[in-house]
Amino acid sequence: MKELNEIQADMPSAEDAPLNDNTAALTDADINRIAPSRGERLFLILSIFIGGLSGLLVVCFRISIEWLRVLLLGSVPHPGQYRLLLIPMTVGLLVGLLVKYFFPQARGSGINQTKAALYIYNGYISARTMIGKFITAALAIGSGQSLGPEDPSLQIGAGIASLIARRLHLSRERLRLFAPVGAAAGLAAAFNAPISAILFVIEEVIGAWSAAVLGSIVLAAVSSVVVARAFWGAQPMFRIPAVTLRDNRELLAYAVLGIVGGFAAVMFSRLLGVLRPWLRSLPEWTQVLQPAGAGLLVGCVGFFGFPEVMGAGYDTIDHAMHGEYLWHVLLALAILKILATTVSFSSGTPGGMFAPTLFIGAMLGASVGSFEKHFFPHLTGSVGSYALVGMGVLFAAFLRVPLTSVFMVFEVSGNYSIVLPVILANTIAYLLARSLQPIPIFEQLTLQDGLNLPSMEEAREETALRIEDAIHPVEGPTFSGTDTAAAIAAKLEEQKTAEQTADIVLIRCSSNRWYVMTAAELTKILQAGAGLDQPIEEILPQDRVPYLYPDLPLNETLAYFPHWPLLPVVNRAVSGLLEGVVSQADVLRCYQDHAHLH
Amino acid sequence: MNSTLTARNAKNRKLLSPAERNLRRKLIFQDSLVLLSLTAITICIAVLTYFFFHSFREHRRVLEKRWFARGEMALAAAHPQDAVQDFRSALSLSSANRDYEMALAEALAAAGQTDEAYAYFSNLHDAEPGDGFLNLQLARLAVRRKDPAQAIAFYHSALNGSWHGQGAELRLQIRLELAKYLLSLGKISAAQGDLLTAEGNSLDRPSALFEIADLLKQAEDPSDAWEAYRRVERHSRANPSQIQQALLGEARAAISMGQYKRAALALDRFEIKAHQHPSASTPKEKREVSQQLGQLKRMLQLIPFYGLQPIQHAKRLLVEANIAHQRLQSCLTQIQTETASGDGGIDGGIHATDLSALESQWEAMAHIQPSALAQDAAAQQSMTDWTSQTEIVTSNFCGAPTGDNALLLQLALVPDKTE
Repeated sequence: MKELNEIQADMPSAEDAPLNDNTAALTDADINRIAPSRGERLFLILSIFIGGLSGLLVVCFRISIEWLRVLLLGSVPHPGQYRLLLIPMTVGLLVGLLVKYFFPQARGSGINQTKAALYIYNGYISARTMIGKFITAALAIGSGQSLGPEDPSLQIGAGIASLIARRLHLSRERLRLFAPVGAAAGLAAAFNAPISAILFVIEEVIGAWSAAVLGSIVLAAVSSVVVARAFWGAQPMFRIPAVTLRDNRELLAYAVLGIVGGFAAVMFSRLLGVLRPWLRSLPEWTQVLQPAGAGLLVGCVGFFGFPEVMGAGYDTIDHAMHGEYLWHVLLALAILKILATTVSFSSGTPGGMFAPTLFIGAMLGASVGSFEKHFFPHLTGSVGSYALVGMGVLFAAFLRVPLTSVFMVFEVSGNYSIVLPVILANTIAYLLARSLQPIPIFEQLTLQDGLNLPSMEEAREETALRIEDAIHPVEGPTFSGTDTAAAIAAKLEEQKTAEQTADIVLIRCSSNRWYVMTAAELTKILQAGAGLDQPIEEILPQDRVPYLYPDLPLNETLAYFPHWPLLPVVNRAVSGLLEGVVSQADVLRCYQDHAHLH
Repeated sequence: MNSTLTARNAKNRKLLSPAERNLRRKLIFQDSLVLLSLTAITICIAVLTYFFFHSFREHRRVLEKRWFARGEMALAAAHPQDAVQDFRSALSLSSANRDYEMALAEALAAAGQTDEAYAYFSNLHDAEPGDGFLNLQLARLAVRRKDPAQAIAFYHSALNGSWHGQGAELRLQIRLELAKYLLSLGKISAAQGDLLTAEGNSLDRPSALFEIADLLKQAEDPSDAWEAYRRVERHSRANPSQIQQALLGEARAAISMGQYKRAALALDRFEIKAHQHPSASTPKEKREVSQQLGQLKRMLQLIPFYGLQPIQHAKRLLVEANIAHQRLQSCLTQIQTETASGDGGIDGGIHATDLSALESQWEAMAHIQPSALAQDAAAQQSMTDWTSQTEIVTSNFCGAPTGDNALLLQLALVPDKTE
């Protein structure tokens, strides 16, 4: 990864220059003052442009891969062709050199780079990285490396978004948000599936549903898909066979698929976890040669009988989905693809893991389906259903995006009747993979790269503390706003015990809002002597404790402690009804206990 | 609403200094310029992408056609394994092409890759379950996979499926194929049903009828086979060869039914037709027919038909019984000789005992006069039974009979069918 200060030096600085005729020198605050809605409008309009341009670039990227594949490996690679050994190795060497000396940021899949752009570099992705990714990933995948074009497409989309946003001098916050917008556009075009792309970006890149960015992400994703479909057509990526659930007993087979997929995902993940750091720990000079070595190994797999493993493998997925392979061939393809992708990806060759994940999932699914069809012919639906569910299973278990995985299957199949098998198998696979391999693959890769990006899976599961977690019952006396100061003092005197006096008094004012009065405040009023017979709320200052409800996040209380020593928490249904109180000490204790538990 | 917005904008404008308003205008102008440039860049990239995309698509199309043509050539040259590779290549370049899929599936079947071909056809079948051709291919593959239940189901689906153009003719062929398959499985009655349906569908097609008739005969339904041969004869006026074959079939079917008169009539007509059109049948066939006709005529002289005068009937019964008795005596002598020389082993003694029992039965009937026999139905039946039993037993112990005894044995084996 490029050093932070190096990247920040590349970035335009926002200077606090005095307002002059030069619009380039305007600060965010100046722009906000003279054109307050500019940022928001431009953000939306640019999202459409980003979507359109991403769509076009992704189409070019995919065509480049296809052209290179035809030129380098021939229209249809067959086992036994010597170029299957030679080409991936030679092109791997070229890619290694390009990545080492020209495009160091193009290494890897592109998802973590996009996340890094969002969380570390304020949305900055250089044009060089984008161009480098385009060229090196196209060369690598076109020459047969077992990688996919989706993740690079995501980075290309994020790159073009960053490039455009920088030209418009938008605020740092918006600049940062353009990266996920572009990422969604790139992924949507690559997948021809806008909903999955949107969900993936939200689930894996941003990690939360943000109203500020959701509209733009949707606009960008939709416009990129419109552009991509103008070229590829509206049909899904794969020809989807009739997808049916014939018999509920078949769900058992889908559950088996979930288990198989879960184990396969763990195996894939662990192999990457072992091989990638090992290859990265080798001497620097070997890193140029690693893509060539990976190319040779993948070429060997193709040369000795399984050229389907080379490249992204969409055709093979399509054929598997139509039951055109026997179950043992499908199983062999899945295992070989795991090995080939592990080697290709670990070598630092630019390219993504989406397509290989889909490939492995489809092969495993079709294998389970074919096996079942062979041995229980009356029980199963089409093999295509299993392949489709298998894709979702690996997606959920390996990439750890359960929601995206379910919607991806719906979107790719255009069929809702597969809902039960998908949810069942994906959930089993996801839970199994999570329990066997707690660190998700993207986090694993981030840690290997020495970065510390937020884990989206953890973020999703983080239990937010609420006021109710720190609340305790009211211990001191409470009074009505109509009580006089003298009456309050008398009552306090009455309740006074030998050990303690009440330091804080809660007063319910006529608007059903509470005032928290300290003993010192009461003493001051009594000493002043004026208006002692008046209702106390008339003497008290006009500010009141804001309404705080038990279900609100606990951090909302923090802003009020400098002013109020104790915060009353009220019922949502009965206005002013006291549920309890929280003090700063309670809040701190609650956070400490929570940290202790986790 | 609009008035509120306008008022707010006016307030904003009022709040801005002239320099700020100027900057704002500049900002809007710059943004518009950037958006215009972006539009221009998008258009340029779109045009480039368009040409790039179409050049690639065209290239792909050329490649896929080339692979498909190569596959067809390989298949025509009986190299199905090469054809499989070529069609696979074509298909990988155009995965949605049904023609390529079909060609690949056929090539796989021709190459003996039954399971793969089955998978391909199953997949195509999933998309079009009512397609007759696909069902037929699956049925044939199921036959190869030794899965009779699936094969029969697919054959029926093929019969009920859609056929474009020549449906009737194809359905008839499939039904015959199914019937043959059923016969090979020993499912005679199912085969008969399909053959009778096929017969009803091919009344004006003598060659099909001829095949059906042959199959009906194999399906142990000589009666319907005879009818079918008759139809062939009627509908084959312009084809002397087929008429002669049909007549031979009629004769054989009639013999199977024990209807020797009919058989003889058919063979008589065969001889006439063969005389009229000598080239329509082979000399061997003619020789065989002549020989068979002779036997039939002799058989007709021997058989005590029910339509005969009682005395004639009784005389024929006696003639048959005498022939059988002569065979019995010669057989008995043969057995005794073999037993005496030790060649007959232990069984020889048992055979001799059985034959002696028959001889003693004969002695009880030997002196009956034709006039008495004509009056005694029970004696007629006993004599008929004795004759049949003698022919069967002697054929078991003393080898296959010849001449009249062979004819009597034939009658003995199908007593109920005999006219």
